[in-house]
Amino acid sequence: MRRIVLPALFALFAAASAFAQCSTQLAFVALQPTTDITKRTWAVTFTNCPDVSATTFAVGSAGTLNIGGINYDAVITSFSPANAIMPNPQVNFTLKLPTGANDPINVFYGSNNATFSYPVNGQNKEWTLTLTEAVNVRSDSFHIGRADATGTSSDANLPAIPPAYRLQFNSTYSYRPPFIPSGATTALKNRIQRDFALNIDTTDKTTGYVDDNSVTGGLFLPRLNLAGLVKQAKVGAQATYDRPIHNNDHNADVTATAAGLIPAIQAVNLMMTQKKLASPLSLAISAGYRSKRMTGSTYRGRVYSGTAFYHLYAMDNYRIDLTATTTYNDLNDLPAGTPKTQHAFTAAVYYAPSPTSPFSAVASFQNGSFGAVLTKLKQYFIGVSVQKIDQYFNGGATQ
Amino acid sequence: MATNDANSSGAGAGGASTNDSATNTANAGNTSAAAFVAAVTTPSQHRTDCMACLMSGLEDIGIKPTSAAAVDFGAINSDDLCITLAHSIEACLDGKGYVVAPLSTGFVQLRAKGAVVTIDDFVSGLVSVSQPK
Repeated sequence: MRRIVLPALFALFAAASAFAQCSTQLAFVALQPTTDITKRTWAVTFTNCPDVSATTFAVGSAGTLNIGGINYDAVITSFSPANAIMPNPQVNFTLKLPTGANDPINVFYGSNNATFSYPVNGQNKEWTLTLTEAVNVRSDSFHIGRADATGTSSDANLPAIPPAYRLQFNSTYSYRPPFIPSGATTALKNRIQRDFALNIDTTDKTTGYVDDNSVTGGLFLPRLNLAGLVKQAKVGAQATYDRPIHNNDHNADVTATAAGLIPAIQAVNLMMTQKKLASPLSLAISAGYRSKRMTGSTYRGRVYSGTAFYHLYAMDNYRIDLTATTTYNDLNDLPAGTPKTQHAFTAAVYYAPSPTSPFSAVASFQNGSFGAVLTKLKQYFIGVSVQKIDQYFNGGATQ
Repeated sequence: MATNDANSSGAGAGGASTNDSATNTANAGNTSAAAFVAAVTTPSQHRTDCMACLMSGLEDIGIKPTSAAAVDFGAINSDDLCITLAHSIEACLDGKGYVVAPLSTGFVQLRAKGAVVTIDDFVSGLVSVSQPK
C-alpha cells in the first residue's frame, strides 16, 4: 500500500508546485476597424504571482513590451484585480507608436515570444510572456539514444533482441487565423488555417522495435457563420500518410472535413433552478479516401465519419456530456468479420456541489469502437477530480 | 463572419453614456421617493451596454443567451471559442464607446477551471473592467 501512496503523494506535491509557479500571459483587445490602433489596450495577466498587486504599477508610468525583438513603450492605463471574469489580476496598457507605425498586432502575429519589463522598487523586472492567442504555433523536438527491447514471447529459447539506436523527431506548425471584427477585411490567405505535422519514431533495426512515422497536412477555413444555422463552422481538407520505414505497410488518407455549432439545438436544462449556458450541439463530419496496405493486403476505398457532441444539465448539480461517432468504411477486401459501419458512444457525468461551483467528473461510460484501430470495448469509469489543487499549497493567494 | 452589431439595445457607436446610478440619483433632485428608487434600481447605460455586448458575444459562439442564467465555461467547447467570445465583446464595447481591458486570457483560464459565472456577475465584471472613452 505504501508503495502506491508515497509516489502518489510525491506526484501530488510535484504537480502542486508546478501549478503554483508564477506565469504571465499577453493579450490584447479587438477593436472596430474605425478605431485608431494607438487606442488598443494590451494586458499582461499575472497567474500565481503573489508579489504583483495594484500598487506595483502606477497609472501613467511606462514599461517596455518587447514582441519579436521590437521594443514598445507601454503606458500603464489601469490594473484589473481578479474578479468573476478574470481569475487572475492583469495590468493594462497602451503602446506608444510613432505616426504611421505598423500595427504591433502584425508583429505579435509573426512572433512566438514576448517580454514585459517594468521598474519595481528601482530595479527593472522582466517577465517572459506566453501569447494567449498565438497565431503561428511551432514546436520541434528531437531525441536519439539507445533502446532495449524484451520480446513479447514467453519462449526463453528465442534469441535476445539486440539493442538499437532510436530516433524520435516531432515537428508541428500551425497557423491559426486571427479574429476578424465585423466590418474588417483581410486577405483570404490570412483567414486560412494551415496545419503541418511530421512525426518520426524509428530505430536502425527492422523488427522488435517501434517504427511509427507519419506526416499530416491540412488547410481549413474557420470561424464561418452560415446564415445563423451553423456558427463557428470550419471547413477544409486534410491528408495523412503513415508508414514504417522498414517495411511497405502504409496508411494514406485524404479527407474533406466540416464542423460547426448548431444554435437551434441548445444545451437542455432539466429540473434546474438556474439555467446554464453551454456550447450547443456540435457536429463534425468527414468524407475521404483511404489507401491502406497491411501485412501484404491492400485496402482501398471511401471512409466517412460523423461525430456529435452535446451538453445536458439536470437537477442543478449534474452535467452530462454526450459524444456519438459513426464511421463507415467502404474499403475493398476488408478482413472477414470487420463491419463496415462502426459506432462509438461516450457519456460523461460531471457533478458540482453548488450551482455556481465548477463541475468535476465523477463517471463515464463508453461503448463501441474507439481509437485509431477502432478497438471494440465497453468501459465504465468512476472517479473524482480535485479542483484548484494549488490553493491547498499556496494559501489561495491568487484566488 | 460574426456580426458584432447585433445588439438589441444601448447606445450606438460612440454613444457611451455616463448616466450611471449615482448620476441618476443626483438628477433625481426633488422627485418622488418612487422615482428615486426607480432611478437607483434602473440599470445604468454602462451596464445595459455591457449586457448587450455579452448577449451579442454569446450569440456569436452559438449560445442563445437569457439573462437569468449562468455561463458554464467548462462546457464551451474550445479555447478558440473563448477567445472569439472575448474579442466579440471587446469589439462590441469599443463600438459603443468604451475602453475595455483584454478579456481573452481570463476566459481561457475560466474554461480551464471549469468555472460557472452567472450573467449578473458576468455583466458586473465587464462593467468593472471597462469605462467610457
